[in-house]
Amino acid sequence: MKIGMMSFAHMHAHSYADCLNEIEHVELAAIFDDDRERADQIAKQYDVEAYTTYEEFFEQDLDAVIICSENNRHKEMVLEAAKHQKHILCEKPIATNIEDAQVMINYCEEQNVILQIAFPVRFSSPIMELKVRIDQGELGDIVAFRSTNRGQNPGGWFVDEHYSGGGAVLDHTVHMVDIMRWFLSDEVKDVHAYVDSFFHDVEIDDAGILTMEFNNGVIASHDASWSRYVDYPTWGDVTLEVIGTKKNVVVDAFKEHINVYPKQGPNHLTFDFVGHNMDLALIKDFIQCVEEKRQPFISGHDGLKALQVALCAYQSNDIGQSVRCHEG
Amino acid sequence: MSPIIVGDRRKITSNNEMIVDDSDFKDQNEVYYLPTERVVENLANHNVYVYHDLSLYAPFQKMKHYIKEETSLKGVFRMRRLLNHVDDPQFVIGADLFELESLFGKPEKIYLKSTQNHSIVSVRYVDGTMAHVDYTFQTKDYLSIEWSGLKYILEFDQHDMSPFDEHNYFESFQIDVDHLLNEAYPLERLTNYISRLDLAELGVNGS
Repeated sequence: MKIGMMSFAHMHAHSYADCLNEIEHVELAAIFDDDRERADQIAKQYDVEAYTTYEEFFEQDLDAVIICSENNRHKEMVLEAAKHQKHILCEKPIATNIEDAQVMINYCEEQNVILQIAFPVRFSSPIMELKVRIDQGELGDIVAFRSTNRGQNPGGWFVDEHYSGGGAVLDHTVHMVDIMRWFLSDEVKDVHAYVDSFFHDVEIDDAGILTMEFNNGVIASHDASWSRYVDYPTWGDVTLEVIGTKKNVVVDAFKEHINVYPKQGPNHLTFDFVGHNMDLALIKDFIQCVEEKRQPFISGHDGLKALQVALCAYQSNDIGQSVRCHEG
Repeated sequence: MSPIIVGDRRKITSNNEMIVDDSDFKDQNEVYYLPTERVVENLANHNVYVYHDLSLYAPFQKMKHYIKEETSLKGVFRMRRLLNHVDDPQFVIGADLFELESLFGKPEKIYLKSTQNHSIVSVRYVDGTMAHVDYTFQTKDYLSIEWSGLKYILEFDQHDMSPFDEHNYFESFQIDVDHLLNEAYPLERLTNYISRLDLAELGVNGS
């Protein structure tokens, strides 16, 4: 199978490209990036042809594409790929506004191409095991969630609202909301949030706390931030506590690590992750989805609903009260 | 006359103060020291002082020390509480907020969601701090606290920090009785504070 990658603006593109190179019968066949300097660098790094125009890129023999552009360009690239009948894995968030997300979903349906959103946390081994345990009734009925997704400030276009559509709250809310929706098969009814910029000298938000309620009455708290320093032992975290009527379970998607204390150099602890590569599992699932021509595990609709919650959080902060997100 | 301290005898280090598991508050002349998790509505006519576990625990004291070193209170405070045997959650939540107010200043907004035995309190303080406290009222005690600030990231997790591997750290969370007596305050102060917050209106009611 031949996969093209559209833009390396998002740092996850490197991980996805490495994953493609690990999978047998899959070839990273072409790269599109209209940043000429970056295109040349990536072409050299991955030993693959890079193109700076859509025309040249889509002339190549490709089955599917992975889009890792700035958030505000997802729509443009998804529409281009769908027009050329390419199946699509699009980095999260699906878009910067609901209207764009809906246009993308509708057009991919019209063109009969797969639109999958990159939420790799669904493929985290501990998260998947927790889903199984919930479905088997081990926790009883779910009462509440408590989650975190905190990382470092990615800088660059991420802190420019024009390109990103939002800061840490957008970047680090959609993953965990997606997991909660998946676990419950339900939608967030209302959102209350405080959002601010604390940790970096940037105008865009880098901290937010969300309190949510689902249509079925389950409540949730979420901490989204770019609060981790460079010297913190790891890049950040993805944690989720599920409070059930029978038991509570806390899962930390990056808990599996070894502690590394370098004797020389910066004298600080680092956590070296040793768990399964969730990005690889995501990419394998997408490839399989294309091969089998089945519905994606994580659809454009999933991406839209997660985006909607993050946007409601900003709205809640702006008006100082909770926001109705989804009618049950 | 020495006061009557109601509480867990395993936790409170004491020389000769009277510590009892429970009290019927029969003696009007006695001074009672009551943990906030045992406070109920109808104690107004008794001479009751309240003490609050959070303000007496060493990890929280240490956290406060570091947070007070911050150049700004802009940061995210998160606390997780599992609480066993709470007679009326509003007094525990109210006492937590009272304690946090002494650290972060006046709350600007308080938002609360409750369902079954779980409550989430979300607070925005005037000086910038945002705080989330998640409570589950069930059959065991547990505490974790996190602070993400400009100078420090602070993390305390009862399980990770336990000197024993049986996860019974609260039994080693000793409370010094002199500290308890110094930190306790009249029940009326707590009830007045809770009335101002109007926690019952926000959805926190007796269990």
